[in-house]
Amino acid sequence: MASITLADMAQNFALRRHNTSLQSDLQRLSQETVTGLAADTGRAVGGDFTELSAITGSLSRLEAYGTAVTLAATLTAGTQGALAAIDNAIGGLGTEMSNPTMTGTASSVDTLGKTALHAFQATVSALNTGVSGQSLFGGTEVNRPALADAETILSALQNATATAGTAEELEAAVNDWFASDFTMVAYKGGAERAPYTVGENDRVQASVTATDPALVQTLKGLAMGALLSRGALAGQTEERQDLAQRAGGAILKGGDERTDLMARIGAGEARLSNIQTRNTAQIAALELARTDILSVDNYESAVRLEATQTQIETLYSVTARLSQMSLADFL
Amino acid sequence: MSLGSALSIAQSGLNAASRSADLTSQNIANALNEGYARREMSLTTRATGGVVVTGVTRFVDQAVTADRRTAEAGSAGSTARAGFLGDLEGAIGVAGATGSLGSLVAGLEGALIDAASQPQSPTALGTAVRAADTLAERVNTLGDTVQAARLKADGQIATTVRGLNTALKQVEALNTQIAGLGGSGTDVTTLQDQRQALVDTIARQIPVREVTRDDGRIALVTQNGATLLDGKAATLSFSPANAMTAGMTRESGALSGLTLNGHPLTKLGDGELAAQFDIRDTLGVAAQADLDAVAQDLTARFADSGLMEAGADGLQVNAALADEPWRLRDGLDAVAEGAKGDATRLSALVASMGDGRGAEGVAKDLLSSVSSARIATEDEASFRTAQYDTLRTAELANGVDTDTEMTNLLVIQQAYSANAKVIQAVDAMMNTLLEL
Repeated sequence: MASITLADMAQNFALRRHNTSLQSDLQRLSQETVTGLAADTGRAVGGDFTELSAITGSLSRLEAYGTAVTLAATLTAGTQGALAAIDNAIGGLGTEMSNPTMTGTASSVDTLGKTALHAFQATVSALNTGVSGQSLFGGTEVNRPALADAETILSALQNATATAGTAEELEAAVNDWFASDFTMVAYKGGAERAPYTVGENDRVQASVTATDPALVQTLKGLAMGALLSRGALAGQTEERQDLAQRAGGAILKGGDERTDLMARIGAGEARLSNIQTRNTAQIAALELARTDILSVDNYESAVRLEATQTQIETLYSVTARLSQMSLADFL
Repeated sequence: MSLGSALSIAQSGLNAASRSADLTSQNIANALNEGYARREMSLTTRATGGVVVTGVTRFVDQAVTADRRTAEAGSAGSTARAGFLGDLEGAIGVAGATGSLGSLVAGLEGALIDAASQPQSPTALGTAVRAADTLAERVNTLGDTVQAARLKADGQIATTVRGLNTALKQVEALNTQIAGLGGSGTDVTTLQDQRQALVDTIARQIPVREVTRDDGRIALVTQNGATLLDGKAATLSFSPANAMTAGMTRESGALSGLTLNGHPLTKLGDGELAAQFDIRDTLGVAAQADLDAVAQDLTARFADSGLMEAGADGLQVNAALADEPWRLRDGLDAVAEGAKGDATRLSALVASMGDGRGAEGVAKDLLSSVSSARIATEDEASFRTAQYDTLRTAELANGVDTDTEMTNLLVIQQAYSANAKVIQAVDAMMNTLLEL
């Protein structure tokens, strides 16, 4: 007898197979509908992760550089703040000291000397400030103040200039001291810091050490003035007046140089802020690109989910009907 | 004389009907037994009149069964391969997923960038060293995963080979029984069912062709012509490894191959056994080589910094660095801590992570190669499975249809009643004769 029947098992097997495949579709679609992302990332990128991994890598780098930029910006702002504090402490001292009418009397020289001493102390302490646990003017030695305290420096200077008989000799001795002993006695920091690395190809040089010529010049002028208050060239009124004027000149010169320095650091600050803005924009763009790669169309997956659900319901009712259709029930 | 003959004929009809009912109930009882082939009874006219049961036929479509076996073997093989690759892909982790290899590489880079921007911070340096340690650990773990999968495949082969040997012996025994009983005309269909189930398990592992001999015995020959069973069962042998390391390969002689009666058997067709060998000797070895390339790339990038070194157990962070993270900033051989703001070495490490294709690119290559292989194998597996499903449905369609069997039962019942009526009528006639 030629058999054209469909065996029970075949029907059973087919129904089971449909059920399995529909259930797995349902699971995948419901996951995609809920998360909005492709359930199988490998398939979403066709097995080639080049683009996706470049994007995620860039994102994590930008995040890390974001912290680095913020830190660099904080340090740079601190440096600017310290320089401003120095400006503030010095005020019009340079002009006053170089003005012969202001240094006309012995007592006015004494007063200016005291002011210079205070300004010197304030400058040293400004150069010794730190931000986020990093000393600002100490170069690579970030964990200790850049300079010895003002008293130590002035005592050393006093010793070095003890033999000077005229203002000119004293200035020469101070110059010599700053040229040689300064780095040994006063400067406690290290070499200049490497530029801040704030991006794959962005290096920003915005740090400065206390050995910067502008700062040394400022210290030099203030120190000469401060020596007046410590009895330099005592009794030689004219020489003291001369020294005050020389100090004033040096302070003024230092002021000009500091202005250049602040401009240089300001340029660094501006670059850092540009980089910050650029990074934020890049992060947004990359996140968009990543979503593009991984996301599924929400509408489509929802519609498919709905369709799959209907299909499963249909399959169930077909299964129920078929199982009722048995000749045995009617015999 | 003719009345007696009528009685005998009716009795043969009764006999045939009850045998048929017996067969129908067998069929119905086994309707959901996958290893059961539907039986049909063949009837012939008896020489002396009446009907005689000449035999019982198992209804099997050999061609469909052979195709189904091939598809099943292929489906099982590619599913096993896809499983290995899928597990590996999962272990590596897709780009961007937390804890994936790629994100650990990115994490190390981020930690180094952070350390370079605040080289004085012991926390930042410690974080960078720990990130390197996590990455090294992950690369090592991935290697362990691959070796564990290879060892599992090796063990699986050993189990399979034991199972195959047993199955072949059983088929040999069934062959003998079938040939013996079949010659004496006994119903051997149940034995044939058992034999078919055994051949199914063998064919799933090694695709075989079944050749039926005249006496009802079968011979099993692989697709490449190696005889597994012809009269006598061949013996497959394999010695499993106790442990698995990256250096152990079949080429190096550390791993066993398969032998058939002492001769090497390399061409196993496209079945599950071949897939296990594939995982152990090809896919696993290739995955380990890819991992080694990643490890080598990392050690080369961080040469001399101690951040990533090849140790006895794979990648490791130099112990000195783990104890004193500041050595990341001041160099491994530094006598004492140097300037705390010196980021030169740290910046160089950050830069070295981006050299060439970048550490991230190398990790990505590993993921891409595994992922694309997984997708291709998975596609093949789903195609093979669909093929198997279709052929299996076709094979099962030849099985028992209870509706047909019930219809047959009605006919059998009628025939039985009719034959019984004949006997009743003959009886009445006999009585009439005797009452004369």
